[in-house]
Amino acid sequence: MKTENKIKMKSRKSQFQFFETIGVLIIIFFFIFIGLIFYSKFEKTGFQRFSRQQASKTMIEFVQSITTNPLLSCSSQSVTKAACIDELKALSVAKTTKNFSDYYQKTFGKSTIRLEKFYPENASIVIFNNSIPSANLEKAFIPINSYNPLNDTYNIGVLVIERYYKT
Amino acid sequence: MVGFNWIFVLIAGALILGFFYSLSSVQEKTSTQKVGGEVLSNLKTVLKTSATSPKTFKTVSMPGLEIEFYCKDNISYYSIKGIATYTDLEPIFSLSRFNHPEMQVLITPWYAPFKVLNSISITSKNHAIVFINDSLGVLKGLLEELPSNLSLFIINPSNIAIPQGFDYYTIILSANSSISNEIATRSNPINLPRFGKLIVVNTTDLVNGSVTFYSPTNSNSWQLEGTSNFIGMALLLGAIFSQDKSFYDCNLEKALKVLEVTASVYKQRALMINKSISDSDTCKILYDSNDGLINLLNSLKINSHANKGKIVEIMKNLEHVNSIAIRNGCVSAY
Repeated sequence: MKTENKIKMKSRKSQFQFFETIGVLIIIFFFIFIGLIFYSKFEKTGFQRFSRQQASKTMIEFVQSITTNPLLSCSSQSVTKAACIDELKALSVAKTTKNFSDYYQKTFGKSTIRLEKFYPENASIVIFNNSIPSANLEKAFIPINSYNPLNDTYNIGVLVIERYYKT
Repeated sequence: MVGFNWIFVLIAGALILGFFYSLSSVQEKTSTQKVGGEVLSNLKTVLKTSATSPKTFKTVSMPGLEIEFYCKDNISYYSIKGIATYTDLEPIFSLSRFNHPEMQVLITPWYAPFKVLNSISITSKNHAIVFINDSLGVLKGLLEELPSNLSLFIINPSNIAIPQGFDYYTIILSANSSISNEIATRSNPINLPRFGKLIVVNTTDLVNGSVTFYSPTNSNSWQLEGTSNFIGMALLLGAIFSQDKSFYDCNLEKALKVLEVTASVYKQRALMINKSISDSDTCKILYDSNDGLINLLNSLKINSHANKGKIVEIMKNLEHVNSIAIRNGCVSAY
C-alpha cells in the first residue's frame, strides 16, 4: 500500500514536471513569435524606405536619359547640344508613339513627358503620355532650351517629367 | 520516466535548433540576394549615367560577385545571383560572364550618320586583346581608338606566342594579312587559348566592313562561326568585346532597332520641315525629291533590319545631301 502510494506520488510529480516543461516551451515560442512579428515590421519599414530611395534614384537616371536622348535633344551635324530640346523632334516622337509603342513603352515606361515653353512663346507639347491614375508619382522640372529649327529660334521652357511607380 | 524526460528534452532541443538553423540559412540567402540586388542597382546606375557621356572610359570597382550577361532571341539582361535587369533596347557588348574586381566600361557614340545611341562595351584586365602585327594597315586606327588601360598586345605573326595568365582572349587579325586564311585553318599548338575568339576584320576605312568570328576547338584549331557586318567604330569595338558572334549579332539587332526608330523620328521631322518650305525654294528639291532627304530617311528606316548591306550606302547619300542642304541655307535634316 505504501509502495503503491509512493509510485503514484512519483508519477504525479513527473506529470507535473512534464506539463511544466511544455508550459515553458510554449512561453518561449510565444516570445520568439512576438520577436519575429517586430522583426518583420522593422524589415517592412526598411524595405519601404529602400523602395522610396530606389524610386528617387531611378528618377534621376530617367531624367538624365530623357534630357540626353538623341530622339529629343538638339543636334547640329550630329553634334549634340546640352540642355536643349528640338521642338520638331518632340512633335515627331509624339506622332510616332503609336507606330513604335513597344519601343517607347520600354524607353519611357510609365511616365508623362511634357515640354512647357514660357518665353517668348507660351505653348505646351505633350511628348509622351503613359500615366497610371492610382500610382505614386515622382515629378521633375528641368529648365531647358526649346529650339525651333524652322525659324532658328530658342524658347525658354521647362521639361516636365512625371514618373509613375507602385510600391 | 526519467529516461522518457530526457528523450523529450532532446527532441524539443533538436526542434528548436532546427528552427534557428533554418532561420539563419534563410537570412543568409536573403542577405546574399540583397547584396546582389544592391550591386545590380548600383551597376545599373553606373551604366545608365555612363551611357549619357559619350567617348568615355571608366573603371568601376566591383565586389566579388559574378555578373551574367545574356543576349539571345530578343531577350537580353544582366543578372547577379538570379536577380536580373533587362536591357532590351540597350546594346551592351561584353563577355557572357564577368567576375573581376574592376570593370572597364567604354562608351562610344554610334552615328548613322546622325547620333543613334551611346554603345556600351564592358571588359576587364583579364581580357587580353591581341593584335597580330602583319599588315595591320587600317587596324592601326582601331588600336589607337582603344584605351591604353586595356590589356592590349601586339605580337609577331612569325612567333605567335599568346601572353599567358588571362581568362579570355580576343585575337584580332586584318583580312589583308598574308596569314589571315592560314591562321584560321591551321592548328596552332603554341599557347592556343581555350577561352577566347579570333576575329578577322575586313575593312578599308573602319567606317564599315565585316568581322569574321572563329572559336577555338578541342583539337587545337579554329572553327568558323560566321561573318557579321559592322557600321561605325562603336559596332567594331562591340565585336571585339563580345563573347562570340551570336552575342554580337543579338546586340547589333538592338542597335538597329534603335536606328529604325530614330530614322522614323527624323523622317517625321523632315516632313514637317518640308511642309514649311515653299515650292519655289531650292530646299524643296533637296527634301522632297526621289533622292531627297525624306526618301533617304525612309529608306534608312525600312532597311535598318531588312537589308543591312544597304544601310551604309543610304547613310553616305544622306550625309551628302544634307551637307548640300546646309550649304544652300536649308534646315539640316539632322
